[in-house]
Amino acid sequence: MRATLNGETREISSGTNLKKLLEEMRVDVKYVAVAVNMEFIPRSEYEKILIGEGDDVEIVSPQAGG
Amino acid sequence: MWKIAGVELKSRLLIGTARYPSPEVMQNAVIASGAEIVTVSLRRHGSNPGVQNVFWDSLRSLPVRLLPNTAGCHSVKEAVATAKMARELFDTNWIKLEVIGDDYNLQPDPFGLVQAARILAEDGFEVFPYMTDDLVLAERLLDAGCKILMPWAAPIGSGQGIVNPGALRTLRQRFLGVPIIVDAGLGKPSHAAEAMELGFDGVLLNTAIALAEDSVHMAKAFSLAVDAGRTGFESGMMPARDFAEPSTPVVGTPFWRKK
Repeated sequence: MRATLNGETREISSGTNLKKLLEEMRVDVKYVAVAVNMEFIPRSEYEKILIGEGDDVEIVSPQAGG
Repeated sequence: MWKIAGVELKSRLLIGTARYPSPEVMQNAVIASGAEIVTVSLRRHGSNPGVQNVFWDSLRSLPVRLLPNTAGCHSVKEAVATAKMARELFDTNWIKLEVIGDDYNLQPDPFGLVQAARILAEDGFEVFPYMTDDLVLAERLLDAGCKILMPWAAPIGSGQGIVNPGALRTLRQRFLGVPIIVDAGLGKPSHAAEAMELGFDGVLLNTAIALAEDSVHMAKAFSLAVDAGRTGFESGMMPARDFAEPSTPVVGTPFWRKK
């Protein structure tokens, strides 16, 4: 199954939820926030959200800004 | 002291955290500026997360409130999603709302801005809208639930100073009770002083400090300029005149003879 992670197409096992995906990517969740298909996903829902074919996942972290 | 979004502040200078030569210079510039609010952003979690984490940790060590932005968003949907991610990550309901309409001068899209502001205000955000200096846009943003306005002085990063003082003066006069912060386009401390002399509640800038040869000294210079401008405004400035008026008393002038 293919999904887009931060703009790049990636192969993902079907049935992967957001929590598992972030664990596989070794992302420290306290430093990130996530949107799937341009909808914000609260941390409390990572386990419930299954990544589907063609989903667009954005994982962001704090950066300098003006 | 002054208040914004229910918070009492001493400094009327808000600064950005981007484009500094190093995180250390950024930290020292923030301290030298006396700013109590700094802007931050969200970007894609990168291949070098350690650097991003260091930035976040260094920010959290500063005694400042964070004002996350939605920089780079071109649509209402992007801006709303970014604001919600920022709320969770930075643990604040403050958002500097940017919906960009034109990439050439980074001019805000007034229609998208109002729409996004309404959605976010209804969702409990304290929206700091980055806007042009248009009077009707200001009215619409207040109608949408904004309690603060942030008109530009000039395009972001241009350093031009206040391009349209007449429009800004009108905003100030029409919305006396609304906190208004002049945001973007200021290049010199004198520009900040000018904004404060016009009676604005504060100024927000980034590039003028970050790209100065000595960012830390420039941060101090802007801090002094903001204080000078505000103190001048509060002191009641004399009106400009078309003609000269001697400052030295005329009575008793030596060698004076009645003609």
